Amino acid sequence: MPDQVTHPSVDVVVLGAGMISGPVAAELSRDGYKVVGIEKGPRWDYTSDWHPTNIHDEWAIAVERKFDHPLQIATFSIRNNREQFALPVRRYTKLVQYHALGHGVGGAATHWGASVGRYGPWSFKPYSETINKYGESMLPSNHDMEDFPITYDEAKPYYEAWEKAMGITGDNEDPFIPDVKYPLPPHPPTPVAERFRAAAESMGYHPNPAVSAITSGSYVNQYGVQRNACIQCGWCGGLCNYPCEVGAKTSSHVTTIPAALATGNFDLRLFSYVYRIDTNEQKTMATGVRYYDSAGNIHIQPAKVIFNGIWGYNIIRLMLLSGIGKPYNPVNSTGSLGRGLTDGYSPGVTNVRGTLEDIGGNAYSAGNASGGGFKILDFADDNFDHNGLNFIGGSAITLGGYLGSAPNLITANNPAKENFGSTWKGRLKDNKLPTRLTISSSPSGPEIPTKDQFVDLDPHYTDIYGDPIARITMDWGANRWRPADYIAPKVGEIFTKMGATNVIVTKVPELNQHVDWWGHHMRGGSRMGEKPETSVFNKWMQQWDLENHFAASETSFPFGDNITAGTHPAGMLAYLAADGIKKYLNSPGPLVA
Amino acid sequence: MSSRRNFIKVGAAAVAGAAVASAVEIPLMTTQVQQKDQALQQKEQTITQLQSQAEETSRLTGFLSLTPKQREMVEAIAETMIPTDNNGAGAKEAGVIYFIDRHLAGSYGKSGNMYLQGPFVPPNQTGPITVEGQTYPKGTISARINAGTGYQYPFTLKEYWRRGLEYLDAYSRSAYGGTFENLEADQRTLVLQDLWDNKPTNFDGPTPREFFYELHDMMTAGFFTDPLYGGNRGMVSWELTGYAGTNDGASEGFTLPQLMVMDEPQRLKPMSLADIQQGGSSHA
Repeated sequence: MPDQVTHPSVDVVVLGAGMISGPVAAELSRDGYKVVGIEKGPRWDYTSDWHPTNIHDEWAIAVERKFDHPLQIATFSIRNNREQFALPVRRYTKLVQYHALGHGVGGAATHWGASVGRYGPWSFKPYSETINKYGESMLPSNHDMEDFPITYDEAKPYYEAWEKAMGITGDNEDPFIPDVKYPLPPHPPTPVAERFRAAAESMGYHPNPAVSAITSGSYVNQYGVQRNACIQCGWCGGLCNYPCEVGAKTSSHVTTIPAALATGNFDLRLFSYVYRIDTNEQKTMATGVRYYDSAGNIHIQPAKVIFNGIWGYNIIRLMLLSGIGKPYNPVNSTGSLGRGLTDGYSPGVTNVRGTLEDIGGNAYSAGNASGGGFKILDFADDNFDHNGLNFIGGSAITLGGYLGSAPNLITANNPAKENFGSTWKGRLKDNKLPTRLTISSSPSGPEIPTKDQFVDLDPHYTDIYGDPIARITMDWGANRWRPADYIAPKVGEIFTKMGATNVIVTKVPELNQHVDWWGHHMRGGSRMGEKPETSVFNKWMQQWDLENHFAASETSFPFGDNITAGTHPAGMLAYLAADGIKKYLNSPGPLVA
Repeated sequence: MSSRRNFIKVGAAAVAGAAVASAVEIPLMTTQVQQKDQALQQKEQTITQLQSQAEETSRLTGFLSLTPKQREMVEAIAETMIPTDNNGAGAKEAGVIYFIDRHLAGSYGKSGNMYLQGPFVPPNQTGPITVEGQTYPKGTISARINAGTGYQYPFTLKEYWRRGLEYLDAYSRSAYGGTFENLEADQRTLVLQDLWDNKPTNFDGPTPREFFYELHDMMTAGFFTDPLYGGNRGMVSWELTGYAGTNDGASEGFTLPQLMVMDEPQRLKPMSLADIQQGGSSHA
């Protein structure tokens, strides 16, 4: 029989110790509150676990996912519609490996590409902006679209707090993202990036350095936590693989968890797998959480407030397992928990390419995963007139980042009938020393949430403890690729202006892909909103019907704009949640009537 | 080789006995012949080097997982996919078979980092299907082979390989009249292409194309991964591609910031994890 332990009550229990939970732990423990953190993985130490002499190991990190969530503990299942059986993701393959959940302090952001940037004003009010300017007919008839219940202006102080805590790098000149002051300067641009910048600027666009959560200099954040500068080792990306041996890649492990621990008010419990949120009988108040330790014993941790910062779809799963919130019913579109999935990742169909004949380089050279390039938002959001078009939003176009950060294994092979033998091997000769560069772009558009996409509990599959896993029902919508055909020729023009030859624009066929493995950067499902009928959390990240449960994640978004990784606005929401929790602890009760 | 040299000398001697005009040509021909000889010699040396490298490789190691029959098949597949040729070393010299053997014996073969709970339902079904009493009219998603949902088999990767090799063996015999490892090179190529085209009808999980995919992934992994894992002996694949491994350029006098913005490719000497762990240059 496993033991059962009940711990003394604390002010706040923080679930997870990753990117989102770190800020909440830091803010509350610094304000003198007693905080317990519950993390399923270990606490990595980059000076030893990720030492330079063993971290440059493609097989262990890029393929076996040594530092990420072990799939045998839990996975999720995926289907495109309600009439299908959902299949579990059983394996990390080279295609999907970098979308692994994290494991340990820092979470998935220990291995991410760190490409960030704010959601701008339009991203917060996409529904009302679209309706007012273009009419309801711009949206599919079964849309489930809502605005954020906050404005860009209201988000600004929380953006600033997150950016300061993380040490975000960028310049402050993007006209589409006003009132920004990133704390660190951008990374040095590459020759390709310079050419893109010059061409885009000469054509009247507004290029700005790509915003990155990898430090460009040594830095001290508002908590006094010191950061090393990126050493441009070139092992950073490779499709979001590598933890950083000098702590320059940003996550909670080098920014906020150390700050929380330094206060003496934060008790971090590692190898602890939370499996229930407990409530009173009427389900009006949460009383605490329960978790398994690594020996399988059961622990009960009572608290005044619960902050849920675990991986997005698992927030939804944990609430469903705990019987809290109002589960979404897709048959009649009632309920809110699991509702409003809006994806956040490009279908990745490249439809514009060109060749720069006079620029070559090392395919593996130094650099990092997200610096060195320039970005334009001229084809994103409502920054261009959509009258007469059949889509909303668009894409950020980013070009010119460091050539490196893609060590050889992940890009080594593309299994196909013609890709083996001497002729194929001949193409490999010196292919890490290209004498000319291919530039390419994959424009797309944001996913509009529809009523048939949601998260619930899988009736067939469980985690290693016997609890149902999360089941995701979603598919790409037309708004993902319609912008591609509109934007690609314009990007092609920029390529031509850059001096590229052989500029080819191809049409993106509709419905050429269906989602077959999703989970990463998923938005919506536990969304914040104006109305409790259709959202789960209010504008303070407080659950409408369980006043002492707060959460933040990309799944908090009512709309998943695709101009940046959602981590940046999600991090902003973490600071918003911390503020909401402070308000609540000062004066308990619903923060929104 | 030496017989060819003799033949040329004999030819020159025969010409020397003729008219004076031809005496001028003879020294030039000899130089050209010598140059050709040197080039051929170098090529011979390289081939001999590679051969002895391969022999050494096989002398120093053994097998933990592959059965004798499987060893022959895997070696033959590896050499068909990544041959030794005029672009240098291939799977044989790299020791790809040892990478594969070690992985089949370890966590990869045991599917250590996979979700292995049932029920096991194949992807790509249009439906209707019934699972544990529930009927799903539209079957399942279409899963790409390389999607995380592509593998829905109730067995480990080691078993996957055992089955795939067995089916491949039976197919080679029935379609090409011999075991895979004993077919000529061009026929082995055809067999592998047939896998991709899903031509064999005897595969009962994996499918032929799925097996080709896994073979391709693991063969190239065995060719390109750091030598600590058993393959890529002597970093031969990195010599081919110009990849530098763990070398950050310091040994060639480059700093990382310099390398970062260069638009001329720089060929660095490849270095492995073992090199930097044994005290080679790490970062500038």
